[in-house]
Amino acid sequence: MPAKAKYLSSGWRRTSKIFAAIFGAYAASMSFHTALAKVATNDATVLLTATYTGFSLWVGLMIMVYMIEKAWISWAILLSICGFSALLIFL
Amino acid sequence: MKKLKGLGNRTYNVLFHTHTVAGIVISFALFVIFYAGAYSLFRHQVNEWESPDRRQPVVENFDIDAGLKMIDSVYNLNYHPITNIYVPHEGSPLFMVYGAYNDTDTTTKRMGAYISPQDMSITDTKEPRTTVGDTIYFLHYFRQIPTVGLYISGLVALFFLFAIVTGLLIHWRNLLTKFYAFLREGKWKMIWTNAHTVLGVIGLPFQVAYAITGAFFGLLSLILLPTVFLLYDGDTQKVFAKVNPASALTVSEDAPDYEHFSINELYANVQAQYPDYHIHRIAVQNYGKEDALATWNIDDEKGITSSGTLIMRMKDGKILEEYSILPGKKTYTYSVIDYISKLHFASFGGMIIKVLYFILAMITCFMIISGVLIWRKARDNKRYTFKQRLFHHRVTKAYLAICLSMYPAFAIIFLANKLVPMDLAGRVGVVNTIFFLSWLALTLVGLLWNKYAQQNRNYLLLGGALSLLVPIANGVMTGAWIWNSWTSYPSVAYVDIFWIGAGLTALYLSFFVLKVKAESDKPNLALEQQQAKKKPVKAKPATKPETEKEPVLNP
Repeated sequence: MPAKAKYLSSGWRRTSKIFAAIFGAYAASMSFHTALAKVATNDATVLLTATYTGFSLWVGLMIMVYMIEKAWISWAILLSICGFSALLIFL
Repeated sequence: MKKLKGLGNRTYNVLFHTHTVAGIVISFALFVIFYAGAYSLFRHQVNEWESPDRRQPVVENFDIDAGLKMIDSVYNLNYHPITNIYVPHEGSPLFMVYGAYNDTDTTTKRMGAYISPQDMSITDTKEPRTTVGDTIYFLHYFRQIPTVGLYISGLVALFFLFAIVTGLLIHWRNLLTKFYAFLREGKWKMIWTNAHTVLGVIGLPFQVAYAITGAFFGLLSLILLPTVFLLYDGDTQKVFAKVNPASALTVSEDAPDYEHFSINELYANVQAQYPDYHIHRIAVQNYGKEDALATWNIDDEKGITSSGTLIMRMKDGKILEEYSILPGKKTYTYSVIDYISKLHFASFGGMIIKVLYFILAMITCFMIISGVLIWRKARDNKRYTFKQRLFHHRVTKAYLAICLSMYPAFAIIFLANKLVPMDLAGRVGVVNTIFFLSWLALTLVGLLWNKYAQQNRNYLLLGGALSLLVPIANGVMTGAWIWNSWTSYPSVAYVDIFWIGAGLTALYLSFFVLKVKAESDKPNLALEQQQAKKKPVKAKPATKPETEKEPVLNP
């Protein structure tokens, strides 16, 4: 039986979620790993670990976007991960 | 039956929907990847089967220096860039060189050529005579699609990971029930739906490994780019240095000449130091100069960290341990890529692992198909307009036709390899055209069959018959009947035996197991209205809207 439509989001929220799941989650996952590489004593370890955890975190955040009902909350979480990581990378 | 704690109602339905959408979008591409990938596990065996050049005994102690000199005399190699030398070994009896030559005064061009030790003839790899194994391998990551093929396959792998995790989450609650139902209950319809879940869970480690390593090979640049730009100022060389200590060693084009190298001697020395390891590849840099470097790739193909890279300056032949990666003593950083490649290519644990991987890949193919059928079954009812239902039927039919016709199409490329004469000019193009056109034709024919079981049965019947012809074609055209090749070229025999096994299984299934019912799967409005008139449905008593607590999990 297909999923019940009443639970699914539509219109702008749906579009926003798709973008958050694909691009937002990617940016958050990568900035998290880059920041980790920046603060770690051995950045090579983090860089190589990212070759598999990068995808895993990306997919994990993708699922998070859909688990949270409101798209803006997901965006807020993803962008704060990006922002926090950016602070670590550039400061 | 005990139920596991599942997701809440909204989350369940939302994730169910994302699982469906992601699954349907990637389904047939994923099937092609897994099906072609499963065959690619045996690429070396297929290479030996398809190519008459490779059917020769492996020459022990092939004279590497003389071979290199022979190729140099034809191509006038420039040894400053890396020259890769492949020594004849079990399963690959050819001596191969991939290097560079001066194209003009300032530019170099890459070249590849091999010597067949039997008659010492030189063949350029740019014009191979046969590419069955390669064609299937390239199809595995859509290399036939220019530029974007690899990235598409990477994205498919990424969304496969998404589908695996969401699938596990939504089926979590009823997992135990389904396991029991799968084992005990014999109703085909239930087996079909339960199999999707149960086989998905059984194959989970394998599928997760493939989703992640597949994404790695397809989308690595997406992972590396941000880090390289933000932390290394876009200098990829610095990143390579992290995974390859030897990249700190350089060679100079102006170094004085030094002629007295013997790769044979160095080879013997390395082999003596690592007697249990095979040396398949030697990479030399600045060969013929005083600072020449040699990199020896050694592997015993047993464990997952048992390969290594030994670096030496060729002049003194001493292994530079600080730049080398010694087998079994690898640090985490040097092992990661190895782990990923070995997991992906199944190059550990020998034939048993490959056969196991093949079976798991076929189970995954079955899961993909069953997923599509569940998708369609859940939508074949009154809640959808007739037009929508017709669309669902057509999509399913097309997906099944593309996927299931791969089996006969693969048998056809193997047959074409034997039936198109070996000395025909441009025969690789002919064989590949035969393969892709017959796949297309088989798909189109499949669109005429409106019963899914009929599609399945017919493709198995066709594929089964063609499969049995493969070893016969091989025997007639090359004389390598199984009883001849069994002792001299076991890989050739393995391929033939595989096709016999596959053919017999397919014919058995299509004659004795699969039953094609009389009525078509295509939605038929007139018929349904007629039936509705015959037995008028009693008006159902008004029920409450579907229960909130317990969503029906079985589609």
